[in-house]
Amino acid sequence: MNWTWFHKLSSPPHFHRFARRWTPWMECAAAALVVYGLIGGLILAPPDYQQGEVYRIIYVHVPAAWLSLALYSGMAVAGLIVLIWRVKLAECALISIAPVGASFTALALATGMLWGKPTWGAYWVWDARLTSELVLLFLYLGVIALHGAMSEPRAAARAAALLAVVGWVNVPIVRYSVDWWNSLHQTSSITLLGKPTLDASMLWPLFGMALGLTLFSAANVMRRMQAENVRRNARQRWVREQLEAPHV
Amino acid sequence: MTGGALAILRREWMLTRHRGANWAQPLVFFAVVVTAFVLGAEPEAPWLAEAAPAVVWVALLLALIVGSERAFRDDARSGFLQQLVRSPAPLPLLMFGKLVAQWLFTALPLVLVAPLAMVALQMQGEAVGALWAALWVGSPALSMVTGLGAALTASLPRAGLLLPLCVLPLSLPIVIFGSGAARAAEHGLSAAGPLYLLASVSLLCICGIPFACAAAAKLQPT
Amino acid sequence: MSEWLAMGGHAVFVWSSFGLAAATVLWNIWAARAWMRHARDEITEIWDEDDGA
Repeated sequence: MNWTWFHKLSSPPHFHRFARRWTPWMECAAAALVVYGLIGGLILAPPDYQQGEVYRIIYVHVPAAWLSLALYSGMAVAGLIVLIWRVKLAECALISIAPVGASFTALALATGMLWGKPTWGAYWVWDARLTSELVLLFLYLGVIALHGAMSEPRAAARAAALLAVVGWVNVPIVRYSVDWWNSLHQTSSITLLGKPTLDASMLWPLFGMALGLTLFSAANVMRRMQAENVRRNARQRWVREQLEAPHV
Repeated sequence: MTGGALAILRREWMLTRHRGANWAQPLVFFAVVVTAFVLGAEPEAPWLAEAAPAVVWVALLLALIVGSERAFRDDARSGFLQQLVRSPAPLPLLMFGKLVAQWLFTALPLVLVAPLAMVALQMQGEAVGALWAALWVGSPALSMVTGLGAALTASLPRAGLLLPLCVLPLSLPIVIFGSGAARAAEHGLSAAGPLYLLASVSLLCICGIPFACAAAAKLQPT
Repeated sequence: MSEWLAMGGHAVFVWSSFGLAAATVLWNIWAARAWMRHARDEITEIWDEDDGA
């Protein structure tokens, strides 16, 4: 198992070609999966015996919540690589993942609130998961703002990487402290994700949506990385060749 | 080895002494937040005592953010931070010295003044003791988190929005366990559980934050 | 069809959730393109500078 293909990925020109070749395919696969998920989730899946039709928001809320955490972990790993090995491409990854992650965290929060209203009558419930999502959004905004505020690009990326890694350590602590805080007074209403019992016909569309949106955000991050990568290596020879090639 | 940290401590002590009444700024800020809160509520409000732990912790957090704003900025501007980065002594230890100095000269006065605020917020009996213990145990973590925020934003002309945005997510567990200890004591439960959790968060900050501050210090443009 | 659109009386919540999801996806696509356009402008500027100098 030689790892050369992986090491080559960290070289800017190679990554540019790799990204340009694979992102369109990833986006097509993502579109197909999302369409399947939508059809399966909205039309084929039967209504939930408890929550009726409103549980269909799960097909957007759960993938968004899962993505917000997965993208943050990816960003923190990129941050570690930036801090330890100073790989330039990891800086592009860190900067590219932050806005995508922030957008999906905001989506997870919004859909969580839209789901909360019909099921508990309140838009905002200080449930452990929703509160952790809110903290995650603040962390994302902190990373983006910190990176935006510093003028020198390399130092800005390292500062953002530092905050991303420190935030990563903080996420489980916040999750635990909110769980502990929530358990002090037993909330009368049922818990937020009343875990509607999902049988197969409901579950597969959910996987489809989750995988589809994950592929989409991966492709989106790679497109942003391409732009950031090209911007940082403007004077390199390979940039002229690649950008002036007719294919683009 | 620890000479460096002690030297930094002495330097900070002399600096705060020469800066005159500037060290009192967080104290005044703390008093203003508490007074405004009490006057905001109707006199003899029954719920004031219950809300008191949260008010004290929020006032402490805001006062620390205000107090730590220029902790690293003057050093970064005067080039002292760059000298620290290049000194043979281990940088995390120097940063630890600086953070301890910041706790001593900013957070400690607030913790000593806090019982007055609790009396002002009409807290009674058990809860006062539990909240004060929580303040003692939690304030190192809070002051270190605000110190890290200050270190990260040291090279910027003004931290403005950034300092609270970076500090808020990291300080939430401290505020939750801190006021949780007082609330537990109010209900007559033993406040030991949340205090232990708060102590563990504090120890995590004491061990980890100096290294993060060292990495942040290295970021400053030379 | 209209009964399906009504979503058991919760049409507003369900359809606005999916609307927001679509908005998020579209914003991301647009933002990725904007980054690329911005990068391309910057580079052509740098290239002109280099060639011109």
